[in-house]
Amino acid sequence: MKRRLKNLLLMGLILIFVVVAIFPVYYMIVTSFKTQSEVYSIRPSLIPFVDYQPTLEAWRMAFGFNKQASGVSGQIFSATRNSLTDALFGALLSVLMGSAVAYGLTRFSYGRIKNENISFFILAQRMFPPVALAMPYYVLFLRAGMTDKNLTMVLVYAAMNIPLVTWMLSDFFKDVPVEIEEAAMVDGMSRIGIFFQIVVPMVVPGIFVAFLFSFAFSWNEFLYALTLTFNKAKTLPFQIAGMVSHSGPRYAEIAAQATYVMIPMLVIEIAANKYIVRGLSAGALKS
Amino acid sequence: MSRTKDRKSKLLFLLPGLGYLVLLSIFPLFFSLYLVFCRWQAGSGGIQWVGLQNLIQLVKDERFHHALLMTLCYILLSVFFQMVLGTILALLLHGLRGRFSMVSRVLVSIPILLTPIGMAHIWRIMLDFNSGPVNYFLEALGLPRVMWLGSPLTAVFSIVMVDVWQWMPFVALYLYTALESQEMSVREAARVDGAGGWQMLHYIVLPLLSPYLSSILLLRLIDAIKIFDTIYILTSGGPGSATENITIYAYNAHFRTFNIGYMTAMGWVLVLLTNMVFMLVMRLMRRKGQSGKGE
Repeated sequence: MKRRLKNLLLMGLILIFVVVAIFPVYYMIVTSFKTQSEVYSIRPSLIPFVDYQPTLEAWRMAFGFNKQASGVSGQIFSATRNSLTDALFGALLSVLMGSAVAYGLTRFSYGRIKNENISFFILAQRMFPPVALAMPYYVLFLRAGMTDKNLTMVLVYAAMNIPLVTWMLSDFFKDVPVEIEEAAMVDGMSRIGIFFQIVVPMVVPGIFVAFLFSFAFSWNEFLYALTLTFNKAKTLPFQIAGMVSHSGPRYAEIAAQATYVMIPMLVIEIAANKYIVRGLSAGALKS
Repeated sequence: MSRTKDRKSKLLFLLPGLGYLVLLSIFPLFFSLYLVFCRWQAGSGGIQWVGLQNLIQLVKDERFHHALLMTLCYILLSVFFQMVLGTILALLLHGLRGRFSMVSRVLVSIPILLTPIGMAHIWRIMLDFNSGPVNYFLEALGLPRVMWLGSPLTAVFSIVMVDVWQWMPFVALYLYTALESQEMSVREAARVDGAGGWQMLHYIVLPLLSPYLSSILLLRLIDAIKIFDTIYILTSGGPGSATENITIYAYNAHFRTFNIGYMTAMGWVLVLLTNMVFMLVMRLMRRKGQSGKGE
């Protein structure tokens, strides 16, 4: 009886956290189906069909399928293309280089420089405040004529995510039994061959998860995009950040665009939920 | 196994990644150290060496002092609430277990990966004075409506709230994972010895958790130095310049209109701050480790 009561109390308290965590997400989705006037009602309507009649108006406006839509809204397609390109190729590049580094660090020792120090050096990259890098990037890429280009964002995002990929994959590589690799070496296979033909296939889930997280961080990134793109290569967060100044507080339209940009993130979150802690704790040093 | 045989190939694994980081992180960082002593405006010719001018300006600039203060304020407030609430939630989840706890874990983790720019927008809508649900709920509870983003104090609070909302779940999940991996035998023994709930928490659970607590604390402190997206959308530093931290100030006042060298100097203040925080927490961890052994 006492145990039952205790559990009920725990459930109640946890429920408060759960509601606070998901209410804003719920409210975002619900708001994206409101009309422009519904958004401003003093009593905020919370339940579609009961409180208000949902419409696709805001979604049409957000994608520029509406005459009233501001000229800016149509750009959401090119911003989507840019964000996809940057995040996809940035993640590929960082997984390619990061997995090799992680494998090297788990299998070999590098003489006088200790492996711990190398991994610390790599993880330290993650600690720098991005504004300290954004400025030199801006100057350097501007002088090289590379601002406002997808290629530039791919290069920047790859660098941003190499530490994360290295951190995540080290664990997966440690779990691969060395005996298999040794047997392959006896058969005369080269290290590179072993890596690509034996080890990588065994850690496909890990590589996939590392890829997803790299993708997510690039997809959400704002500061570098704000600094290094202005027009052609604008990414989605940059595009959406401009919503306030460009079209005033059109809440339903903003909510629709925000929902849109977060759909891939929600998918990743549910697909890779098990790995969230690992993925985000890159840099946490256990003492 | 002959390790010497793969001397060449082992470098082949490491060098591309490391070289890339040197090229795209280390080199730009040192280049920006050079920029601190220069003046350079977009579209206006070359980089001009000005010596200490940017740093002198930094020392005199009152708006910068305020931004530095706000940076510290966000770090302390936001991380404090994340840590306290995160620890509580982790203990609750750990105490309950079972399917309810598992589903809650998934649901609670949702804010973590959501695009900060988008979420800040939604919070702006939720905090709207007239039509926002937050004020509506307050009123329903008999409390007065609040101008969330209108006055400096409430605006700072709102920014902290949104940041805590997004990151507290991560602290909770991290600590939850740590709790689950702890040595069960220690706690079973304590329970057999008749330790009650609070005693368990104080003498067993929190000490066992403490290395993880410092570890996540460090991570969150370093991230809190970088808060940008949330402020950019919620207040863009306003009202006036009341809610500006260093990054926001640098962008608000100087990007594309002003001297890049000056912004770089501000960026380096943040780099130094990051290092200081890192060193401070590491020292704390080491001291704790020693005193722990002495007990």
